[in-house]
Amino acid sequence: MLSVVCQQSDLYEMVQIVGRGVTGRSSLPVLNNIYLEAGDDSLRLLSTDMEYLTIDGKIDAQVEEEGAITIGARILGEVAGALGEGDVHLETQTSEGGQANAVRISSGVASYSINALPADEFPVPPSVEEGTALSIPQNLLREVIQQTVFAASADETRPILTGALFSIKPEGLEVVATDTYRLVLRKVELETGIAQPCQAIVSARALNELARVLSPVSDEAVEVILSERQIEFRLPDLKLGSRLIEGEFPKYEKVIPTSHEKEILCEVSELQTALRRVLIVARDDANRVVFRGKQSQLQLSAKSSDVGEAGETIGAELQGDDIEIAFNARYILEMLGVCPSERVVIRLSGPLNPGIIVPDGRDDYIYVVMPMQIM
Amino acid sequence: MPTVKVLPEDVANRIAAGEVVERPASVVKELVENSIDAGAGRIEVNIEEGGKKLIEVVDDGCGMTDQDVVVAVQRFATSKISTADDLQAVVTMGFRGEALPSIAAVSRMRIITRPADGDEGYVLVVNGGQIEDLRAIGCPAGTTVQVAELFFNTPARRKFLGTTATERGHCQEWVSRLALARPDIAFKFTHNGTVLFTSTGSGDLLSVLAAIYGSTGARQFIPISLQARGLAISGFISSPRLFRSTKQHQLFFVNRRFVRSRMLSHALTEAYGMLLPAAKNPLCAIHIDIDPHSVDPNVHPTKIEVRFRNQAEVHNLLSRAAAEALAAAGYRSLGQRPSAEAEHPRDRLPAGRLAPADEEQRSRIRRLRLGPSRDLLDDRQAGLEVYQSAPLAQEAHNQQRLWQAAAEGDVPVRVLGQHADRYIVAQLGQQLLLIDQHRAAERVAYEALENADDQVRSQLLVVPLTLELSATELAAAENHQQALAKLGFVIEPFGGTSLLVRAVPAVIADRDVEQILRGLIEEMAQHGATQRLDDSQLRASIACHGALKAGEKLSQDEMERLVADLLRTQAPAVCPHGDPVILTLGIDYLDRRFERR
Repeated sequence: MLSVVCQQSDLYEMVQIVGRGVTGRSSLPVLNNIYLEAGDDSLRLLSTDMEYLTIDGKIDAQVEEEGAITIGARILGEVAGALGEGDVHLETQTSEGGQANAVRISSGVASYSINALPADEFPVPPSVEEGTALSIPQNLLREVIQQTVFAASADETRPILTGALFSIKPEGLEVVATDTYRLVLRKVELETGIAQPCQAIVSARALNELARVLSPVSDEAVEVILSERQIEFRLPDLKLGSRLIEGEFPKYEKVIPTSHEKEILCEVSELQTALRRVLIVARDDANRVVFRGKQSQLQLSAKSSDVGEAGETIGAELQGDDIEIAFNARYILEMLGVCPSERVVIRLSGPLNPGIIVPDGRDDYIYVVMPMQIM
Repeated sequence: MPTVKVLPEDVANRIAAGEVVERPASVVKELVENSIDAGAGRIEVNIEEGGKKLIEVVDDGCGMTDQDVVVAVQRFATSKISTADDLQAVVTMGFRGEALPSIAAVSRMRIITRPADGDEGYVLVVNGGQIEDLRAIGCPAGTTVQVAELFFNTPARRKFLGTTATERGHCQEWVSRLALARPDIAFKFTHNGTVLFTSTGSGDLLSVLAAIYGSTGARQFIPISLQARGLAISGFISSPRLFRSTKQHQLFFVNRRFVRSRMLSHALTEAYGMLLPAAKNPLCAIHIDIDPHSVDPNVHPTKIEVRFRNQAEVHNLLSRAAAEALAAAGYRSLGQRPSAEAEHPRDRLPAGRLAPADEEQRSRIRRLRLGPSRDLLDDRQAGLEVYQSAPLAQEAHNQQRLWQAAAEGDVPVRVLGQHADRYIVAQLGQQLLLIDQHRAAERVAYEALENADDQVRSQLLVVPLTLELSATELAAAENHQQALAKLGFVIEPFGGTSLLVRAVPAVIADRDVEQILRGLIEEMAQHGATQRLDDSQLRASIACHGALKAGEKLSQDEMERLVADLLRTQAPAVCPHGDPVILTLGIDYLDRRFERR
């Protein structure tokens, strides 16, 4: 029977993280719970949706008796948050039949007895043991995720596009995401060489959860273990696992244009502000904003028969002929929001050819966005 | 050389031809069935211009002697039935002895044939039913039937043939069905010299499915199998992730013969229950092997309808087999799709029967239908304003003005919440609004498409979308290419039965575009490739397929946005299909119901 003492702040923090793995929509009631296991001077907290997300964390604890139990994620979060700082004692309680059916949570003068489900009902997924291993600094992985997953599709009917492709090659890691309207590619150099190139499609949902727990400043390493069906990201006290999305990712190398005829160089912040203003009108026209490059200016305009017109001109450096092309402004804004530089280069060819946006002075980040056409 | 002219029979043949030979596809079917009966291991079907110019079926079957081949083109000459007992146990494909003479009567036919054990082959030339030539010729064992200029002597029928793409699609559909019926025979289908379909003849049904739906499509099928009471069910059904709007892709084979049966379709659909969205149908290729005495296939000359001696038992067994197959693949239906039938199980009729003439039953059904509308009538008198397509003039006018004021922000609209993941509850002035979210989204999408009428915004794709379609669907899509482009879909054929999508309408880019386009194409295929759907029908269809569904949980923001968009439309209260979108409860009505007045 589980009996353990831990710090309120540790418990609360970990429940916040692990609780994110509980969707609350599961048809299996026990999956709305967090699995608690005491042993080895620690308390393990685990949640899973049996699909794309398993979060497995541990906190320091004094173990009085080893054991395991499961308890509702939401109620555990509320209780842990409401308790004052200091020691928290968790202990399973049993019914007359000897079945564990509640957890007693006490701290200072507060005491709860919360209904629980036995641990053997909880399907604890096996940890990934073998596979390709990588090591990436936390802050870099976080940046890579944020710069890519936004372009993944939300359309559940095409599962492959709801994830990001991790392609591990001898020359480095490539992360790619696309919703078919735009595609983003981020390259990362790896210090250690890879013997066997491999690919995996990782759920965007899992990656978003991972990014939340990764530190934006620490360069402490995250171990990435990639097996045939699963991927696991390991931090010292936390493991985040996800079942890979099966299927074949679109051949992204083919769709990235290798040449262009014109270039527009402009300030990210200026372009962002201008686009946001023009979008107020563009919203009524499927977010369509016309980009017009002329001399050393970039004109942005939108028109809607219902609302009216909007226009704005910003300074830009242009190479090549004048050009006019229309994009969904939202696709451009989403990329600018995670752009790692102060200026961007927009590379264009014709009004029906893909546009390429890259951060000025960097060749490890490429955003391909398709224009809009008037039929 | 027999040159007897038998005029009455000739006329009889042309009349009979109408029953058996409707279009090139029916010729393909009849000829291939003959080849199957001849014990062929390989069958090649070559057509030109959708079969309107030429249909050629080549087999390596048993072939015919010179006497056989002459008899074969004469009506009711069949080698397959000699006694009435034989008719009871029909196990071969063609048995009525009608096909070949009927086809010969309305085309220019050549039959080239050699029995496997014969030294010599023969060529028989028949023009419009008249035998014109029969001579010895050197040829490989087996039979080749060439049918040129179908309906050359019945211009009225020729006129009713579809475009080349349509007829080609129908022919290919039949070749696929026959290949599924006989996975042990190798099939090859060419059109104007291009190979469009091949099967290996390995006996593996799944590999034939892969040849039809592509390997991605075939992966979505799960095996089904059951043996009970002298009946064996085997084959594949689609996983709940693969479905279609029509029942076109439900292929049933009874004793290796393709059949249509509402009863079998019903049994299959019942097993899926709630696993499928409403009005969607599973796909299947199911073989049912049963004692020939328990089926009567001689219902219609085209032999597509089937009747089992024990319909109910077959229904239950198929339904059980499908449910078990789904469960084994990890899909367990949580229940029947709610329908009038399910809610009133007592009213449920045995499958395949007409409604009972029982007067008490009928009146119960009438009462069920009348119940709610009578309530509405009472409520209307009590002050409930229900929107109708032809509303009372003044009331409707006032309501319209109120919505307009709300759209312009003069009267605030407050979204209070969502009920049952289906209705948005909102407050407008002193009115309480109940809004059907699916229909509201449909109205908004419809007008977005309508406003863009002359200038449709189309979003190009980085990675083109590939759709695997059936031959008929592909033909329909090609025929409607222009209409689809006007809506914003840029498509092009991509070899075989694949369609490449290069751009989609920008207004639906965030929705499930693949399903929307599939729905449209299926609808086009169903209406027949020759009939054009008008723009507003297409728009309504896109709007409906693309709109969010009842049952989706919405955030406050999403609801507010939807209500604002809805109120800005021309007719917020009715969806493009004419169904009500908003129900308004006035404060007067509420006061009265609470007996405050």
